[in-house]
Amino acid sequence: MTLSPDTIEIFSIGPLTINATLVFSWVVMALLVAGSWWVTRSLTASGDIGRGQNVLEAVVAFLRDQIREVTNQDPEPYLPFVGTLFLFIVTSNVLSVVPGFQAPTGSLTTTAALAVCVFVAVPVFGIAKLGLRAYLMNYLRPSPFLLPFTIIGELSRTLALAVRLFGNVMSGSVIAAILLSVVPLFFPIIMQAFGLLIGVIQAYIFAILAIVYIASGTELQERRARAEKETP
Amino acid sequence: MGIDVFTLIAQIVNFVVLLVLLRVFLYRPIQRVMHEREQRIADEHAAAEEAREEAEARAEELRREREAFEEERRERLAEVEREAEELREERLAEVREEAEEARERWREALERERDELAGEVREGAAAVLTDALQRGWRELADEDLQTRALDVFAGKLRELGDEERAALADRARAGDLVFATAFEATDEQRETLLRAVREGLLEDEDAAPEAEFERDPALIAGVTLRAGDLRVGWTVRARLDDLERAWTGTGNDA
Repeated sequence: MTLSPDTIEIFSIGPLTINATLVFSWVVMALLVAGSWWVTRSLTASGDIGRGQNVLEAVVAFLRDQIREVTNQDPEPYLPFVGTLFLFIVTSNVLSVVPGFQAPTGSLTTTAALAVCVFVAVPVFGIAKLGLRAYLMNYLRPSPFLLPFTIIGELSRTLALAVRLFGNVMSGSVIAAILLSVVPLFFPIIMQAFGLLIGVIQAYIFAILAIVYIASGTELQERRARAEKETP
Repeated sequence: MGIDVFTLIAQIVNFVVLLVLLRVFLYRPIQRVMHEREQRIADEHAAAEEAREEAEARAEELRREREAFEEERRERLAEVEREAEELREERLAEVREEAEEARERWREALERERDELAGEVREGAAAVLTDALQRGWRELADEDLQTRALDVFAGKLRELGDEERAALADRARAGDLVFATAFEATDEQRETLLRAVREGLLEDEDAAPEAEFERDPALIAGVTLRAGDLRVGWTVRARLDDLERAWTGTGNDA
């Protein structure tokens, strides 16, 4: 039983080892891109739309509504980032029920990479919205002495983000593998279905947390900027 | 179970690539289409709102026109009713007038018929009555009645008014007197009549008035004195004529 697809080596290119995590990530990427291309090549703005377009519009509308509710801002700037996170994770988790498919999200490396992306995205969106100085000033408030704790908080929530997703996906796979060896009939199917539900929920949680982190940075800066302007 | 740095970097790159690709192949087209649809829906909504406002304005305009039309209709109806009432009154007056005329004509015709009938009846009755009285008086008339009638005549001369007496006196002085009696007047009776003229008209005992005497059986009994267009006397004929006129007058009143 393998706990991480990182350990499964598919092929090597010189010193670079291509493992299952990367390969299945490409598979997921290819599926998403190909599916998007296939659906969006015949989009129509009329009321009579196809089933694929209907699904994609429902997903995009759902993500926009969620982002708008959480950030109370225009969702357009955040939609590609948060949507890509959600689609990649949910596709990886759902495909985990396919025999032989190793969900990339079952790799701590993948979840860490996604968490790093979030970690980077938070200041990127904050600086893009507020400017570099205003964003950096956020770390010195309310007191410069709290700067280490703020940095630790940033790192710890990134780590928690990565471990939470990895733990949930990996645990589902592990439990399924254990049950498969102990009770080979019927019960693992239920656990797999349960794992599907957990996978979708985890994708949702990851995406929502990402947007919460991004929004908290921008909103906090906005509130402080407004407070400074209002203070004589 | 650890983190492979190469895989970590590769996954970050993968994520960025996926982000770019999905932005190109998914988010932009989908959002463009959704924006177009939202815009179209917004346009349609705006058009519908505009159409609704136009419809409301049109409805308001129609409502005002309908109220104006209703007001005009009421006015015209009132005018027509007034004209109809006037026409009805006019027609009614005409009909009433025609009816009144017809009724008047009918009444006149009825009265005429009644008068004719009553006249015929009266005339018949008067004729029968006067005929019976004439026959009665003729049977009763004699010299004594004649004498009595002369006495009555003398009394009537005395009772004449001053103006009539003066006119008759002038005629008597001129000798323009004619006595008519039902019976041939005797000398004594003639003298009685002349005396009555002297005493009643001339008031002169010595006067000698001249007069003509004639007999008129139609008088039945009594005497009349004619002096030009003046006439005075008492006769049964005159009484019968009075009776007939009185009878006829009573019949008209009835």
